[in-house]
Amino acid sequence: MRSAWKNGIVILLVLLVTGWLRMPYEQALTKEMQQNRLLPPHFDLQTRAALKQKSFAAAFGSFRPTLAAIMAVGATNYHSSQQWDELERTYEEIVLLDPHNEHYWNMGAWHMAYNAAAYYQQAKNLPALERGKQFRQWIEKGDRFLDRGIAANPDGWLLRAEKGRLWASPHRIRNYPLVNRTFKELLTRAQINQRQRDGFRRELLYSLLRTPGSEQEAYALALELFGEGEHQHLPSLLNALMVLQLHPKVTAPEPLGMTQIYGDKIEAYKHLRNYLKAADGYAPLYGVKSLVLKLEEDLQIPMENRIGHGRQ
Amino acid sequence: MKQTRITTIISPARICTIAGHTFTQLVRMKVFYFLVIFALLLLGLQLIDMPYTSGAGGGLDQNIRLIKSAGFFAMNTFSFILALAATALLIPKDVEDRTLYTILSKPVPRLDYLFGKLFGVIALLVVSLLVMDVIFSSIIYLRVESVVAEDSELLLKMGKPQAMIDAHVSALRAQGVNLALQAGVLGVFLKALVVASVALLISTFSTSTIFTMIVTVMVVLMGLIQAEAREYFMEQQALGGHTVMSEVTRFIALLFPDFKLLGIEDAVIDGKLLPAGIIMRVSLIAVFYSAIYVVLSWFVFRKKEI
Repeated sequence: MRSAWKNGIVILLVLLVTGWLRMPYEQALTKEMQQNRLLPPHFDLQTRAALKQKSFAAAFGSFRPTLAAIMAVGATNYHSSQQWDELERTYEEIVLLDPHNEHYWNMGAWHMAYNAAAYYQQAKNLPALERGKQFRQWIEKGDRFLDRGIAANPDGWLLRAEKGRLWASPHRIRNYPLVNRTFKELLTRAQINQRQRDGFRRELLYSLLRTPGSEQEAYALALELFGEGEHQHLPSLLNALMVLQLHPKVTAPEPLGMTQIYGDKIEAYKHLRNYLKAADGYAPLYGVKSLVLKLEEDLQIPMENRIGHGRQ
Repeated sequence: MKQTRITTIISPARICTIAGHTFTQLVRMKVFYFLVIFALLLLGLQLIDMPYTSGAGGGLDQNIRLIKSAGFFAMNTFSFILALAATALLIPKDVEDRTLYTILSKPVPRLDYLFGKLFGVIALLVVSLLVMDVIFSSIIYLRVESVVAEDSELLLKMGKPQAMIDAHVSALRAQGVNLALQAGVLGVFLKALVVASVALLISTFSTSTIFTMIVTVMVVLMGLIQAEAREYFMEQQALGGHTVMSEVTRFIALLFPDFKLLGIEDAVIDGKLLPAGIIMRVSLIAVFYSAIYVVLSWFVFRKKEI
């Protein structure tokens, strides 16, 4: 019996002493791994409470993503049955379990800002004022969800890009200054390849184009992109460059000619006509219509196919 | 003339003999049947398609992530059960079969016996993890390659440039079988090693297998919250506060191993590359934990009346 006690005391002492020796090492290594996002963040009491009994299961590291995936599959039922509050609650739990998976932040935000917002926008059983209020609230919820996802994944590009696209969407509430800030942040902070960089710079250009007061900046970017070569010469970019050259607030020291931009008048007419037809009330239209009309004359476009004609 | 036999404390030959016997003993318990369950589980996961992930390569990330996550969870679970059950059963079984008396009546130091038993369990863990790794890697490889073939064809039909297709294919393959995946398997092994060492220590003074298993499970559960306890204690210490809770967390941090720190497979599931330095340091701490428990096991077992 005495021997058992002696053994117990020795074991305890050895564990305490070695524990004291290893504690700073363990703490430093944990911090380093967490900073590099090689370990999942700790659950605080609030998080544990939010996860209820799932927090126990989730304590087993590698089970967290599996549990999150199971919950994400289950959440599709809430989408189908349009139970938006339940869906939001489920995604809150999912991102607690798997915070470094941008997909779940994106999906949660998409459900809130697009699906739930559209549902309330079209909810015939609600008064018009309430519909508008709910529409805005769910978009803002989605936006906040994206912001939290960005904070949890600062090097990722997906959530920043989706935030930019959310506030540039013609079917939501447009906020081009916010879109500009988001894409500029994305281009400076996220880890992206050249192909992605090219695409996001174009998205920034289309947003700057629609932001009053940013025309000169938009023009500089359009010119820069155009100068990078054929791979950047997409119709939207060519139109942006042409339209910005026509804008009264833009100073273009050496404006490019129409054929320099489009190659020939037929291409210019085709693209500018599309630009006019897709006018969304935000993209500048200074001088575009006159230019198209002049091109119609020059190219002798049949009357019935011209802008302003009934069959256009 | 009386002969004096000098017995070295540690003899690799003796340890290998005991380890080999232990391994054979465990294999005869038909423990490898669980591999069938593991393979079926991974094959079943192949059929799951994560929602809202359509498009060229779009869903692969999430589907592969699910296979990796569930695969690592299954590996962790099976290796934990193996390490725990095999180690907890060993000494009681040797006593029951009277093998222990036969071994210890010979000039076999008890440290050799303990090392032999532990290495036998480690050999079992290594073999089962290798088989699981082969199944796991094959399934991930097949899944990635099937998506590579589908996506390449699709992108080619869409007229995308070859450079873009190549970049897409290499991004897909980066999620497949690579060294990081093997590092994740190493993480699973390290946890199982510590579990086996803890179970060995407890079995040296435990009176029953059930007791050994329950106490080991409790140590593992405490080990899973050890990092949070340590952080809480260190925060309180930095603030100069000494409460009952801070003392409790201090003891948890000092007494129990940090199992979360050994969970390097989490980063692999996230698609991260693990620096070699981190792998080395995590391995070092696992070996340190294991060494402490083995030394303590020997301390208890060296004079134990059997």
